[in-house]
Amino acid sequence: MSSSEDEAREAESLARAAGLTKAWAEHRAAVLEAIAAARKFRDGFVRPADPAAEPMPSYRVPGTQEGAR
Amino acid sequence: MSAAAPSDLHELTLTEAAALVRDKRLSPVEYLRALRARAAALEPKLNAFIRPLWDEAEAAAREAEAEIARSGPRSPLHGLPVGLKDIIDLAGHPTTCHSKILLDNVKQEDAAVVARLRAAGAVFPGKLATHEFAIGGPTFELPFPPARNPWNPAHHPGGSSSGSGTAVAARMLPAALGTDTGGSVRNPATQCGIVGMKPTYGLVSRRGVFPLSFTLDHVGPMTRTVADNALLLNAMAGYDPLDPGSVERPAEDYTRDLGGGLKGLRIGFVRHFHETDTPATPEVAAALEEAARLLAREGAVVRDITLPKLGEFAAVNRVILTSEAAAVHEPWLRERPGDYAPLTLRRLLPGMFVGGVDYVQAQRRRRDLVAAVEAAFREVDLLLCASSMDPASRIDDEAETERTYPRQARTPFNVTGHPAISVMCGLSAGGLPIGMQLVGPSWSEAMLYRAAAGYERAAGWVERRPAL
Repeated sequence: MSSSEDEAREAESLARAAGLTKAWAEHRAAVLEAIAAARKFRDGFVRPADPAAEPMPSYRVPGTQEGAR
Repeated sequence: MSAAAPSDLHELTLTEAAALVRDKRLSPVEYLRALRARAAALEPKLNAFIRPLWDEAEAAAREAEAEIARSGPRSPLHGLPVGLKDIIDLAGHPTTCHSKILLDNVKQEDAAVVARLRAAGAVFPGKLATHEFAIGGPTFELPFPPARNPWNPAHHPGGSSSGSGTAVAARMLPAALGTDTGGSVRNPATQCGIVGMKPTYGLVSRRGVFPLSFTLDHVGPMTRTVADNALLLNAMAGYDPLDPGSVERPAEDYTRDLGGGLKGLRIGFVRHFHETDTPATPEVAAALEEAARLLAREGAVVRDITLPKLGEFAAVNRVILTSEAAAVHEPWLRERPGDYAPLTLRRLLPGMFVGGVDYVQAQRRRRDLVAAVEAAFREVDLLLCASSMDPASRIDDEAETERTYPRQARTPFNVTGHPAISVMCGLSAGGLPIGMQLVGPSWSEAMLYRAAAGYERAAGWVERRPAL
């Protein structure tokens, strides 16, 4: 099987897993573009080195303010 | 009852109109009719309005006029018109989001920010054009045509609060509301040569505003002058216990320091945004340099300052925005993908493929980026930086619009939540506006208005207007 066929099969799997069966059937180019874009997005910023770095916004129980960390 | 000649009433700023109404020298009804006549003449080529509501607004203006005659104005906005981007709910009317998907989405309640304006006496002459769901772009494949730039209708007006920018710049309305998730108040403010404020996250309620990205969405005022913008924000701001992001703070008068001038303000010029990170066109760069010189001449202490690279802010914004937007749109993306314009579909679909880990990593990096901007505010009072790196492209040039739209420096302050205002700082050789941003620490809107008003007075760009 060629690599382009592998890629198409993988893209279809991703689209189906995302529940985008209809979009895959009717707007395939847009779905392929979206998969490529999402891959590119994740390389656009530095991952925090500190394993304990907290995401924003922190979870807080109702009625409290977020503390400094 | 009117001080200005009827043919000139559309030129009144919100502040001028408020003073004339207060002194009973201007009828809100007469003012509204002048604006309606202006819109009737210009709308065929500008398309700012999705749903004109002039009759309903006139009835409200008539009631306002009677109440003002009896007991004076409730607030400076009493009887005065404010346009609404059509992702903001107005009771009794659809919020279409400029989309086929929500054409029949009639709302029973006002958005919280509209309720505040209504309580202040404002009237609402129309729902205004946007990019579809505030994320598409200028496109002709929607139920309503795209708004056009009053400075040159062959060009786009920026977006996504496109109709708001067009209506205000064209003097069809003195004020309008926009929303800003990746720069959508400040982009049309920049491209249309008006004033747009993205307030601090949590200052203005988002309840009743169709969400694009929960942690990045802001509602902001769009006006022709800085003073008008502060006046409008006075009525918009306030705690809303039903908006989980709303912050309870004492009420402020954002007009209080408008005359304070620039002397002594320490301004950090984020030059690397437009010089190296995303190089601006030469005329935009020159306008920014001239603005920095003028700010210094007016007494500000201007120095360069370095923030993380623009591309990092943009990448973090993109991952968060597309993920949160996909969560909002997931059912329609699955069942009705063909009901979006192709451009909107292309903007929304990537969020369906961003992994949960990437989303959390972006929110973790966001904290670092916030800390970096907070550190800058320990050295300076406010920041000066570019808004768009290019003047508005032709609206029919899809490739150029696609290329230039992301070339901007607004997303950093959606990521951090800091307040940022766009004001005009030049005109391109082609006669299109150029804008700049001033950015302040959280809750520093009054200081931003002070600085922007000082610049506005000194620079004089506010006197320029589109030749319509």
